[in-house]
Amino acid sequence: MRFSIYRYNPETDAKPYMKDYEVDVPHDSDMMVLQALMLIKDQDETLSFRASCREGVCGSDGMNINGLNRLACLTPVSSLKAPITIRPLVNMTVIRDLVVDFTLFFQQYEKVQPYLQNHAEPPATERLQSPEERAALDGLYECILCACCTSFCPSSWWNPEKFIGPAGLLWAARFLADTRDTATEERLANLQDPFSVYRCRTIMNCTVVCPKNLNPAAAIAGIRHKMVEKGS
Amino acid sequence: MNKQRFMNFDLTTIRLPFTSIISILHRLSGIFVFLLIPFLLYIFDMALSDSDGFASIGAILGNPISRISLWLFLVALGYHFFAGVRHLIMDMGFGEGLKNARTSGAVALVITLVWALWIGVWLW
Ligand code: SF4
Ligand code: SF4
Ligand code: FES
Repeated sequence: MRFSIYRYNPETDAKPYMKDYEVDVPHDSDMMVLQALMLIKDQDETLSFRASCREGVCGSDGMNINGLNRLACLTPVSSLKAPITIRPLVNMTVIRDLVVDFTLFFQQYEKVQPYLQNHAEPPATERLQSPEERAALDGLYECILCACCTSFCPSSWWNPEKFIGPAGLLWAARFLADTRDTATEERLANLQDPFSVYRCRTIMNCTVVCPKNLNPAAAIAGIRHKMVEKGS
Repeated sequence: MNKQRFMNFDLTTIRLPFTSIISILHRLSGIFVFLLIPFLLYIFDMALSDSDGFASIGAILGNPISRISLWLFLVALGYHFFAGVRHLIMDMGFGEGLKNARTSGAVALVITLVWALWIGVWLW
């Protein structure tokens, strides 16, 4: 099976180029794209990509495979039409080959203060939640920060700095939904400007590509509802 | 060491999900409607001026090109309206799941199609 892969090494290349590789994939194989990349690395050890857990938990191997951002480790080769084109995540600075710079992505994550805030005296044991309160976090807390969504969001393409992007906003929604967090007002006030949240046009590219089947678009709509309710 | 920075940003290599096509069409139809408004105001103004003006509209609309433009205008306006209503419904918190968003997008397209046919029959 033919793979066409985006290559760029800043030490030797003037600019990025596509390079073709052949990989033997038995037709009933359940090989994932990540395994194929490892086989390609056996042929050509200069190929660089990130991966760690191999099972969709660490969020390292987001990349653009046949036009969609996805995790190489969760994408079966058999689900793809050959030639399989692999490019780095969209609209992120390429460090080398399929490895991209996550600095801005994590700055956006940091902006939403992704940690529990509660200044009340902690109880002797843990802060309890009812099963219903805990269930409100489902679909919000499972994000692995792979950046597949934000890198595929048109609003993030046009406003990469001012718009927080679907991943960061999903985390904002996660802490807004947490009954143990008491910083709701401050969190909402932080997102009030015309760009942070309101650039989202519910295009849903984020939801289409999220490998964990989360729905950042709906989470963002939820934040907007909370803002309206607060009458701000 | 190459100091130049590169990004993978080549829209021809990106697959557009259905929901984003719905969204792009929404914008394009908006721009299109906006651009055609002066043309319509002109016709409208003529219709209100006097009976001669009113009669000349028949002549203008007899011209296939202006008739097709009017048709396109109304189709784009219709789509823009239906997609807008879809957004309002979603903003009220309904159908935010991916499946529903796809379905409602398809519904907006189908309604537009029916609308386009209906307008077509009416104009010709
Ligand atoms: S929301 Fe989904 S696509 Fe976005 S960073 Fe989290 S896991 Fe990845
Ligand atoms: S729904 Fe909003 S956050 Fe998601 S891709 Fe579209 S504009 Fe970006
Ligand atoms: S290698 Fe960890 S998510 Fe794919």
